[in-house]
Amino acid sequence: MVQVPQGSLYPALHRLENRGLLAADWKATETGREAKFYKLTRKGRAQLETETAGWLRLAEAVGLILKLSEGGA
Amino acid sequence: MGWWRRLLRRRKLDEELEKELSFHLEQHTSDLIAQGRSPVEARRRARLALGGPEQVKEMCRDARGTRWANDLLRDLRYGVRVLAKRPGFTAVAALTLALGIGVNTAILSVVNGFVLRPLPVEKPDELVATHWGRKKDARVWGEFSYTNYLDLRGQNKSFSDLCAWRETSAGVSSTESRNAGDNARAEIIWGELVSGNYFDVMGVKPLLGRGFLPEEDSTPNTHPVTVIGHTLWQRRFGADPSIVGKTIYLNGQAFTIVGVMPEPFLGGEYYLRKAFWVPVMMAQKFGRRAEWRTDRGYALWKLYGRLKPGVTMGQAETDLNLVAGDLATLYPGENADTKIQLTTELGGRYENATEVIRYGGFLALCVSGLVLLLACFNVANLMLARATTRAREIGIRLAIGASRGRIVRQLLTESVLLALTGGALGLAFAYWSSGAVWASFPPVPYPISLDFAPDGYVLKWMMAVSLTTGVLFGLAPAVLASRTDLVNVIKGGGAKTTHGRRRPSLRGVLVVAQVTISIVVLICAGLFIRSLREVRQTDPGFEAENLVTMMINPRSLAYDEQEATRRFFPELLRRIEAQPGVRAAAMIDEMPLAVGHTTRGPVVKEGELDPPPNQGFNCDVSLVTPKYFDAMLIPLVEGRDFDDRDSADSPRVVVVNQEFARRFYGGERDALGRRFNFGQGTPLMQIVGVVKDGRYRSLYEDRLPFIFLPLYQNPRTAMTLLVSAQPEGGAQAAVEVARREIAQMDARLPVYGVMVGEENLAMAYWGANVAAGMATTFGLLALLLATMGLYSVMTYAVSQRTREIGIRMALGAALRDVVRLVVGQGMRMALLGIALGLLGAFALTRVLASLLLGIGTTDSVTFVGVPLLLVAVALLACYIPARRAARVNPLVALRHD
Repeated sequence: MVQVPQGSLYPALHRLENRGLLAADWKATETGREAKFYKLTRKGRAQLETETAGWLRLAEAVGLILKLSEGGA
Repeated sequence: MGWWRRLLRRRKLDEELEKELSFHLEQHTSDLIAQGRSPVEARRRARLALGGPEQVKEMCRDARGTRWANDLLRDLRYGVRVLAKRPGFTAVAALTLALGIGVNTAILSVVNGFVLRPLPVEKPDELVATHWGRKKDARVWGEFSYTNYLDLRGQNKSFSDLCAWRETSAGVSSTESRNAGDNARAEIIWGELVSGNYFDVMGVKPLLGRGFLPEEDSTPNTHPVTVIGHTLWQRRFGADPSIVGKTIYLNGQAFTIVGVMPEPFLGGEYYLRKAFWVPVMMAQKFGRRAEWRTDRGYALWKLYGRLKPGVTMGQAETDLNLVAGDLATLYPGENADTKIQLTTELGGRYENATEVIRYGGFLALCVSGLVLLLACFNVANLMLARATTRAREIGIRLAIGASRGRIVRQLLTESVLLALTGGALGLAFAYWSSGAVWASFPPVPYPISLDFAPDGYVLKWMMAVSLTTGVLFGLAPAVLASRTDLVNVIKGGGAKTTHGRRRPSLRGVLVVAQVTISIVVLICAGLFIRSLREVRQTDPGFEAENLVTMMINPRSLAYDEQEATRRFFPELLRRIEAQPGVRAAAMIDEMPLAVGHTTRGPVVKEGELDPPPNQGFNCDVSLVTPKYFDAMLIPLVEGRDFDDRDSADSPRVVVVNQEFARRFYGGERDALGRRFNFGQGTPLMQIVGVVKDGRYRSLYEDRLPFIFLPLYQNPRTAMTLLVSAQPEGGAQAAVEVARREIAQMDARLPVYGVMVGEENLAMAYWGANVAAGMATTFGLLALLLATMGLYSVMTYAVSQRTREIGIRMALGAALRDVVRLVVGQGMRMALLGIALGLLGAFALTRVLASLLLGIGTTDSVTFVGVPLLLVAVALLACYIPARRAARVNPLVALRHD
């Protein structure tokens, strides 16, 4: 359904990192190459939870409105 | 990673980004290969999926949020290089701005020193000052009696605390005995009588020891304790760390030092440096009548307070007036018809400042603002001229994709950089000139503590002004430059197509504005200088040469008025006059043209009835000893001087000036022998002499009626001693003679406010001198800036018209025609500016008329002379470039483009 263009991925990752929501580390991969690994920070997790909750509430509200208008129609 | 690290580790971050993206590509490629694509196809698809790598990188860099700072750094670096490449332009522009900004910073520093610099106390802007007065007055500045203070303090509901204080002076000496020969250490110091809670209300903690205890604040004359200031501690006690508990002699009495205040704290007034504090209960020791504690009409005290949290000034004022209303009902004799007003300590300063200072400061700020504007116009002109020469550089930048905004920003950065350089130089100028203002202060017998050095507040303003000017003079040229016609520029045609011939060019408008402003400033300056010169030529009415004055007050050593005037003063004068080199010695209460003056009245001629209250004429008056007129070389027109016959027991006598005699008796001769009094049954005084008119309050005043009363019939202890030296001996020797004789009479008696010769007039001339100095500075600056502006514009205009001039000459124009062409163009602008400036000056001087005493505002010399001067300067500024243009070789000129 949703496809993030790969080109937009990195600026987004960097923005999140700069805001302290992601932490990044350079580690060796199983093939032995250095790669940048991202993980959620505590702040990032909290943010994710609020955003998720907010989204769910919105989705629920929208669903409700749609249902209501269906019922009213 | 923090913002700063992102900004500073740019290179490392770029490397990591490169690595991260190439890892992504390779990983994706190998994934695709694993799905069965050929390596070439896999790499192509991976690249397509990611998008243009440079765009992605650029987006990632944007995500850092440091782009603007990076750009700024780059612009700054580039700006520094550009400015360094044209040192001549940079120096002229920076110096111009330095003058403009420096003048403003200096003026602001002085204003700051007077009204803006807060007291070094806790939360200075919340310190509330309380003023007492009559209901009919719009603004009141009165003081409070002690009983009223106690009632207000006890009954109000708005103040968390209210303290009382009053400045006082004291003789400080190292001994109690009047015969010790240690006079060198006797001096006058200023301090404050304070209520016990004063230090708490101020919110200052002593550096050593303590403040005052409740018992020291409750019974009169029982606790001789004092807290001393940092300077006194350092100077007189060598910063002795065990000073607490030691003794200091104030007005001849031993006081125990209980504390030392920290260095910045100088008491409750911003302009006087206080050196000691004593409890109010010791007021009698400092010359206050014993009834100070009980007499409700004896208003001595200034009140400072702190409001309770959440209480506004308005509420507190209403509250205090309610209490005052109750007090008025209880004690109508002293308190009827009173009201109380509150100001903050800081706010009160401005409102309390005299009109002359207030408007003077305002005017100075206005004029210096105009000078700054002039400087801005000048630099804007320089920038404009330069932007045109840089048109090609800008054109190329635009052509390879720089946005207009980016170009404007780059140019603005340069102009702000220039402005900051100018600001820094200006600050140096301000430091220097604040020192000069300080040095120009006349000697006054008070420890003035005004500080005119630029402080943090001034610095902040200076920065703001610099940045604003940078934008102000940089914006228009930058915007114009960014509108360059690309094609024309890159073809090498220059940028002169940017404005049409018919529209007045921005440069032209700037020049006209410059001339206008400088005419206004110059006419103001001219009026000031001309009228102040007249003031300086005013005869003060006495001879200051060979005159020495000094202040003494034996009251401080418990001499009463009778003892001082019957024995001490006559004996002192007799001894001094007996010394070689002394021509005459006398005393007066306040020197004319010094700081204070007293009036008495109403004047009621013998046989006339008292006028109704508050009508009648109150006359300025001085108390003098015999030989005062002789010492001052004031000619006696009629009658005689006071002499030994005029003692406390003989009939009352008076000497008046000519103006008094004329106004009340129609003539000098007619006044002689007549008698008048001050109404209400005061003793009649007979006029025994008439002296020549002088100036008394200020040099600007009209003729004032003035009367002299004999000191020995009107005792007083705070006096100024005058010694007129023999011309050959010199005044300085007389100082030593007087000091020695005073010490011989009483070694504890401090001598202060010693003025030698012309110093006696310094106070009177000071205002005029400062104003004239400032007016001259401003005027010259304005003239210099306007000339520079006109010259640079004309030079530029000529350089732009080289080709046209060449053609004209090739077609047969003579040298004269070319000069006329160029000069005509410049003079049109100059004359327009002069006309506008004259209009502005006429309007402005209408306003000045109301605030400048005794200064004519339609002085023809100024109003004709200044425009003529400007015409001459403008002609010169146009003629030099015109000559250069006329010498152009037509062949070279035609090849020019």
